[in-house]
Amino acid sequence: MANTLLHSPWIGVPGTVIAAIVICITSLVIYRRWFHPLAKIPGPFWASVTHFYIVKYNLFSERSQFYLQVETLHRQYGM
Amino acid sequence: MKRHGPTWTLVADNRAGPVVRISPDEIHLADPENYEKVYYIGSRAPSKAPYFYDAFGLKTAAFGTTSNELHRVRRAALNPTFSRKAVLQLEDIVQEKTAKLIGRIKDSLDTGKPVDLHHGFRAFSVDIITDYSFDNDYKQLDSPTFGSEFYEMTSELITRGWVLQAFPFLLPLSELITLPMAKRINGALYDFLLFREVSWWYLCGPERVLMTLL
Repeated sequence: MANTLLHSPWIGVPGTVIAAIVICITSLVIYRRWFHPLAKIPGPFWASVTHFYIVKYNLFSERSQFYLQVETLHRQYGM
Repeated sequence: MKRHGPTWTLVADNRAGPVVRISPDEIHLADPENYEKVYYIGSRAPSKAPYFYDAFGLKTAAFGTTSNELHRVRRAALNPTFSRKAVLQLEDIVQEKTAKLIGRIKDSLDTGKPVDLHHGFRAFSVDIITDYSFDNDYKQLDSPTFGSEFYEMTSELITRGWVLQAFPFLLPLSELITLPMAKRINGALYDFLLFREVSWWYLCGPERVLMTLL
């Protein structure tokens, strides 16, 4: 029964696509966090895996305020 | 690792001082003096980050050119404008605008009114730059508001820059926006596009502008 479900294109095709996307993202995160040339530089986890960390502060704070966050980061990770 | 040789070595040896990783491929140096250790004339450090500069939509300008080699060529065309001799000739323009600004400040003080120095100093820079670079003084120092509308327009458009940086696929779409469309979407965007057309008109003559409008 489970076998027939898996072989049905309605489950199999989207399943494969989703699995591919998940594998893609996971391997990118693992590479950027642990194998990238900058992996040893201190910094927040989300900043090391995605550009949207900066976007979050520039676009969704009072007024383009990533530069203020940078100051906080230096206080936290090394002045 | 090899491609970015000098930068990574500096960071690894701790010679670049305190450093924080702010994105997958960007770091931030706490001490601005260390910038010179990475980027100096003839440095082989990585070029400008395309994602950052492409959002300005100035790919063919020296400012928006991200490849070091190409930038050197394009910037060379501007070099005579910033030679010692050229900058010394600039003095008259600077003095003229300074006199204007001081005049405005004095007038306000005489009538006992406050002076909008924030916009005053910006108008001062804008007038010097436009007069020297385009031979087309925007005369913001003569405007009662020190051309604050121009400043409001640019600061409102910063958000547009952040959005285009975050979602670069919107760039070609944003270039499809025409003047009548912009008028309905956002006042600052309309002012900006109009300003761009007028600048083109001034630089290239009416034919070029008519071509883009038709």
